[in-house]
Amino acid sequence: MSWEPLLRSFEVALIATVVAGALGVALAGLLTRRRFPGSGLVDALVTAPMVLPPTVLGYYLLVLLGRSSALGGLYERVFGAPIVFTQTGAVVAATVAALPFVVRSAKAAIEDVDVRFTGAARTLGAGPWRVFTTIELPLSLAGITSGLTLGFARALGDFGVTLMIAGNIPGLTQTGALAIYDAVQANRDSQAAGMAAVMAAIAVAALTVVARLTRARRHGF
Amino acid sequence: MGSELHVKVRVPGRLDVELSVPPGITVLFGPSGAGKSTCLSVIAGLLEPEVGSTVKLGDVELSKLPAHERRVALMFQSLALFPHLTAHQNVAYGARAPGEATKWLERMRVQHVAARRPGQLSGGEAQRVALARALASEPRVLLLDEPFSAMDFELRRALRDEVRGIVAQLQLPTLLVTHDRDDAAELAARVVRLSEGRVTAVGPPDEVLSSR
Repeated sequence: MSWEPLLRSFEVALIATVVAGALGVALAGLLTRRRFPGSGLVDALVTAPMVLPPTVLGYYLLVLLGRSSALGGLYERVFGAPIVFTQTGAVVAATVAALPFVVRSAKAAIEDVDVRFTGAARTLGAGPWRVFTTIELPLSLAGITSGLTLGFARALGDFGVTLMIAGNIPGLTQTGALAIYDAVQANRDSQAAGMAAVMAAIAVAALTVVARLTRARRHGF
Repeated sequence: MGSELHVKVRVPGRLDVELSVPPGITVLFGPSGAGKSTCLSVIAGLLEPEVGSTVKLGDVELSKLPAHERRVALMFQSLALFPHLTAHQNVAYGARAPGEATKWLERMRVQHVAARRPGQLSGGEAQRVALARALASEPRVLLLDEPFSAMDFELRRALRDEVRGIVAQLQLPTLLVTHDRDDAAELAARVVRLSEGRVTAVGPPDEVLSSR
């Protein structure tokens, strides 16, 4: 069994979870209790990766970040390498896949914070930013961690979006999910079974963590 | 000497109230659902009332300020102590000067629970910590929503004395909401009776509480 694609999956998913975590928590804070023009559209766009076919999502990311696009061209001029068909592309794909899980969970957790706590903080002189960082965030930590765990699991197993934007280049962009597909195609059954078992074990472990955190959240402090 | 608080609140279908609160304790008395807590939320800036509602403290129009700039402390009926912070951290949260948290915890005689979280406090200790938190923020107005609910007789009497002494010393305009006749009679300099969102009587406790 080759560990290299699995390790790449792990590395890509870890970076993607950090990026999706920072972006997702900020978006959740913005979308919770604070309505602004276009907030409904932002909410829908963030959730879309959950329901869009991965190939469609990958296609739009290719259009947006491809070498001939404005954004892709700018990135290549600044960093000297393209986004697409590189490991950065795999990170982008995994981040987009993980983001809705982080935003959904964080938003639900922040909305669950008792308005009396935020109200008390406001009467004690705390402005919106301080209320968010000192009351809403700590009190929704279990929910946010659930979202990050689910996002990590989703990023780890991404297939379609990664294939579209990063390709399936062994030794460069091939992740665990893509390597399993290749192994099955080439009748390397034992290799496919080994990698599938490792990825399934990580997914089950992640779900166990989420279940524990959900229980902790339900029982409060 | 603190300024007088003038409040005019209109919440469609719920509240149409005009009242003034001089330094000292004014009790907002009435049955459940009369609109007492809504009135406090509007004064604190937690609920946006209808256009035409005003909250003024002397010449300062508090209703033009967001809640966090009003310096109106509200002690919730549920206390709303932050569950992830210790008693000391709760009191220090809104304190305007270093050392205020310790000073108020000592004054309320709960310094021995400073390191405990709200879940580890008894009912009486939690009430005292909540009151210390409200006062450490050096408010210009103090709002107390049923502060003695769910307390036994001894605790109730002790905390009543505490509140009366502090408000007299600080000369804070204080609006205390209760549906308990004893609390109103014991504490109030004046009583405002509220019924179905409207003021039905204002005056000294013996006068208002004996009227129907």
